[in-house]
Amino acid sequence: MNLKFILTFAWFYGWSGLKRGPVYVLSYLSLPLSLLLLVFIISRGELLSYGIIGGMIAVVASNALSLVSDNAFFKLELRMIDLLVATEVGPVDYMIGLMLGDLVFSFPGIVLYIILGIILKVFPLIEIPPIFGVLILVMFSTSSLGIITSSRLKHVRHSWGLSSFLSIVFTIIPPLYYPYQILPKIILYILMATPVTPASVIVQSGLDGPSTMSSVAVLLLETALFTICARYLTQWEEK
Amino acid sequence: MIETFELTKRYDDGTIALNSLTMKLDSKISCLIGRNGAGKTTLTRILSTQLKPTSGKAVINGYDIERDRKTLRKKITSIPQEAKPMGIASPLEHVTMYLTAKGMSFRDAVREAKVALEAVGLGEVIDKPTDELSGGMKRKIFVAMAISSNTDVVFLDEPTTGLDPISRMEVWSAVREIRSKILLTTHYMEEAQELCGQIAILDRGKLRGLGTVNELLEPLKGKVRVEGMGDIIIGKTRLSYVDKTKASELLDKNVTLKPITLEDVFITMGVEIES
Repeated sequence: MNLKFILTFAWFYGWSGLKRGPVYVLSYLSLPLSLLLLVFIISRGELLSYGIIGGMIAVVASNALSLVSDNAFFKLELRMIDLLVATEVGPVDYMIGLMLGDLVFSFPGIVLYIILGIILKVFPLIEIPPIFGVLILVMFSTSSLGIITSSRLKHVRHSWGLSSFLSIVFTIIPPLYYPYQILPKIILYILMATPVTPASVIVQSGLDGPSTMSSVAVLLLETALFTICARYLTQWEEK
Repeated sequence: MIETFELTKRYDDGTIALNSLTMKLDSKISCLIGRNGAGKTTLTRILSTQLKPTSGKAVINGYDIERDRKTLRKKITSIPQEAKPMGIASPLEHVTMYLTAKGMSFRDAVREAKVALEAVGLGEVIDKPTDELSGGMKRKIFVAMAISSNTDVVFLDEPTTGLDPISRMEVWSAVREIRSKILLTTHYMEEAQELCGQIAILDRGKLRGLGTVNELLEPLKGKVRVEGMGDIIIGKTRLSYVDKTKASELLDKNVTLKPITLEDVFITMGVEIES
């Protein structure tokens, strides 16, 4: 693994986006913050903590899923992979660089939600490191899904619609903004296929609930599985 | 030195992009010229280890493109035909990222990137988002990558396509700054004539000619191009080649006489193929 390239690529892709396009931070925060307001008004403040936990996970997941279009754009429009093939880096370095770049780009949103969570007493300071660990797993697993989805696209324009569709499916339907306990077990198990669901269960249970260990296992398994699939579907050299 | 031995590429749809190509290139700047679909990009992609050949062999400075793939990737730089910069990132960020991919430390990459960007005339705009740069400036970012990567061989696939004449000349000047050996593909004859010590003419995956500009012009030595009459038909224009001594006899006819260039070598080879 080429760590210096991975970090530089994250700087190139994530930091340049953050520095020169801060308006996109507002853009990716607009939906979760609007939903937070909606949840607050409708539940008269009772479900505020779900709005914060859900928004935090949604920020990471929606940015990670934007890799559907970013990866397609890099590959088909910018010819980034063609440029990088004849270098010392491989598909894993490229993939992790993209994921880390997305994490850098999501950082202001994550920080905002963590501050809100601390101020509104949704989670104590001590829980921040494990929550951050969960968010990194969400980033890796959903980014991998983004890469898998974009890997066989022939036209960039197909990626735009897919990216928005997946973002809605991954951040509105699963139990991010509402308690997972209200779901029938069978629906919860089905939704466990999306990495955001086990992540939400872990954070909603305060990291030590009855479902935490099994959800951690599911999230770890999905992260490993999706990352391996993404690696093999990232076409580096052609036959 | 770049050598190919019976190199063939057949795509899944049956298209033969390279047909048993054997050649040896050893100039400081060598050019591949040919029409669209001649096989130039396929050859460049195979030589730069992006694409696998169907059969045959190629060797670059003694390294086999298949057997020594990993080692070779450290010794070459390949700038693809349609590579574009990411609009929101700056030239400095692009070149630095590329140089770390080539194995440099971040600190060295930043330093070398600044030197190279200065050398290609982008010193004033190193921190500007590339969206704000002209087409020529954008291409020069990739030339700066080639300059600073300091590898043995650089592949430049149509580096000036779509650029205006001034931007093209700027890119040519930047290309001359590259210290490595260069294999440049182009369909601009003028570009090949301007830059290349050795020129290979490809047509439908086959080598039609190889030599210096003078060697390639040799068969048409002492002739002029006559536009307006002749057996060669390109679009609606008739062409022929006559001895300079006989050219004066044509002056009263409705024809245009032009000196011979590399374009004429290309045309006459194409005609041979057609017949």
